[in-house]
Amino acid sequence: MWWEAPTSWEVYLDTERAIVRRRDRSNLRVTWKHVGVVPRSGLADALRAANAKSPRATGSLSVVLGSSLCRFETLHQVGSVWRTSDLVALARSRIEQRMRESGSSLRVTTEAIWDSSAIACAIRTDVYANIESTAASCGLILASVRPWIGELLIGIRRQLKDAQAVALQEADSVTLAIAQDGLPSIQTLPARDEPSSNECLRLLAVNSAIPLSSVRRFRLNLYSEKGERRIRHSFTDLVVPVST
Amino acid sequence: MIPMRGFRIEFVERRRRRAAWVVLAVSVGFFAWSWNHFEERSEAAKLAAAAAAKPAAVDDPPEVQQQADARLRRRALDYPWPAVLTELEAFADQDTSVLRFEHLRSDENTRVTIRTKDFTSLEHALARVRRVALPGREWKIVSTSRDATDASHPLHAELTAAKGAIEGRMVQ
Repeated sequence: MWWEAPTSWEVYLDTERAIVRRRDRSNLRVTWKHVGVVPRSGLADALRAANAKSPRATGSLSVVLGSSLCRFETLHQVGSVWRTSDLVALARSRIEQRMRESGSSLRVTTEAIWDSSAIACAIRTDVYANIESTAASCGLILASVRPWIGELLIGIRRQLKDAQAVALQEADSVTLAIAQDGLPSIQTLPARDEPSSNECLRLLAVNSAIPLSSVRRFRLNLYSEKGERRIRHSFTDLVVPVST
Repeated sequence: MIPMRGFRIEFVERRRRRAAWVVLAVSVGFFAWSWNHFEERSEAAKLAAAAAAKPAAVDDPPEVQQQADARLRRRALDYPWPAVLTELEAFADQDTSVLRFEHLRSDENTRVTIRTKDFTSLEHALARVRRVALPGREWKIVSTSRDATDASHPLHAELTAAKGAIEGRMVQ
């Protein structure tokens, strides 16, 4: 064949580790390969080593970020008069005020998801720069960097049905996403083990004034065995429901 | 109550999409340029062919003009004048008469306007002139018309011996 689609690399990233997967497309067939779970500092080496085995020289890198790397802010009643740059400026000032972090050290972007509400997300500039340099050092084109929670909610929307509160327990954080009275809200707390994760989730539910029983809970099954289940886009296959 | 739904927040700027638009614009521009170039070349080729077929222009050097004139005279002499005129004169014996005869040296086409009694006579007339072989040319009926004031020969027709096919038109 005179042209072949480049290999795509998909990486889940949190504060300590990275899950690496490779997607090959040939003859209109997409095949996924689970490369492994590596320490975050060893991501570049893992990509280089895996890319060296790839017959294609070029490729792209898509990164989804665990909630521990993200700072979320929901902006209500913004209406349609707001431009994206205005939304970003407002979100930046709020996150800066809340986290007591310098605005210049944050990379902020936003998307309006309801008519009058928008969700903004900020990540530290050095985190983004590190991802960029990793892609560049491996000869990959950085295709996308997105918060995982948003991609996950899209990926498992059939399981969510009409759920108004969704909790996601990751290896180093717990996130509660709610749509109370039509207004979205996303809160995250760091939690490294099961008891603290449950405690943090209880705190978040109390803070949002919703009963914990109404929360649809999911957990990232980080060490899911290779071949255990069919690999899906954006690591949605690694999520398992947690019974309350 | 509105259920929670997903969102897509992208930190990477959309450079690749912009690049795709640039590639598309360049492709469209190149296509337009190449089409225009093709048209210009085609036009130039047509003009060159027409110039080669035409006699030498007035501002050509004298020897070139002389050669072109000599070529035209030679071709005019090659024209089968006796055979053509004999066939046309023979029309007077039938239900057909010649109204006009024209042969231009510029395009070397022959045009004859005749009047006949009916379409059968016109067909006979066409068969007669076709006996005269003109190199590279074929006799055809180009147009017919009906003259109500001419009681004996109401059908008028124009015959042409020209290069290539000529679409005929019928006028009643």
